[in-house]
Amino acid sequence: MITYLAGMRSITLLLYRVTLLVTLLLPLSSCFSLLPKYNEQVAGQIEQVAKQVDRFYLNMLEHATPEERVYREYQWGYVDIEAELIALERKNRIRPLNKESARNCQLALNMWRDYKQQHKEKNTLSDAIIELNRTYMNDMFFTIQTGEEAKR
Amino acid sequence: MAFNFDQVLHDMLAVVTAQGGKGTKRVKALVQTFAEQNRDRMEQTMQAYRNGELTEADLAMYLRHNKAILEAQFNTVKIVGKAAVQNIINGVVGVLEQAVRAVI
Repeated sequence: MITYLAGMRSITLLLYRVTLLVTLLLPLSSCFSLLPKYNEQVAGQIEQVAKQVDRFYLNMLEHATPEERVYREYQWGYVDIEAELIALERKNRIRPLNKESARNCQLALNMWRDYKQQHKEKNTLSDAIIELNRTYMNDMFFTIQTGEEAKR
Repeated sequence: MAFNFDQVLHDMLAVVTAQGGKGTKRVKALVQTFAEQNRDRMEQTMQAYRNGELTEADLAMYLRHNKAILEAQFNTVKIVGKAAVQNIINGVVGVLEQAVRAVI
């Protein structure tokens, strides 16, 4: 009888421990998130706008001399890319736990607006400035893409 | 089947060590890549300035953009670090989940 009671007690204790573990720890796996889930659509959009910026500057280098690179000829390109960057920033801002990525998109947008202003003021861009702007935007996009890929 | 606390703890520690190691390696490699990019970008900027391609205002803008990229890189390192911690948490909870399921 004593053995039976001791056995029952140890089973009860085990069940108690298991229930406690299940209750306390299992919900953690779904609740304890530090980052939003990887978003393929956002990753694709980063890739697309990065390509768009690269194409914009490569076309400028290939198809126009510095004298032909007047701002008016490129203003729609600037506006298109700015709109894409605004959309990307908004998409990232509304995702929960995504403060860092949203900030990075805001920084990229600010840089792009500065390059637009630079072109507007000079009304031309030298090859060296185009190459510099490409480098700065590429490095920024690499940083943003790496952040999104880390969420996989 | 009995619930072996020692084994579960051992498995959890193994997950922490493995995932922690992976996370540290990833962060180190990323910081190295960022450092190389920053060096090359600054060299390119200073070269253009020395060649008279940039005005003082241009240079000030690029220096500001270097600061912005550094901030973004710091944010990304934070994301990668959080992802590593998340992997550790998921791994540890996974070990517990398996152990509990085996008992149930």
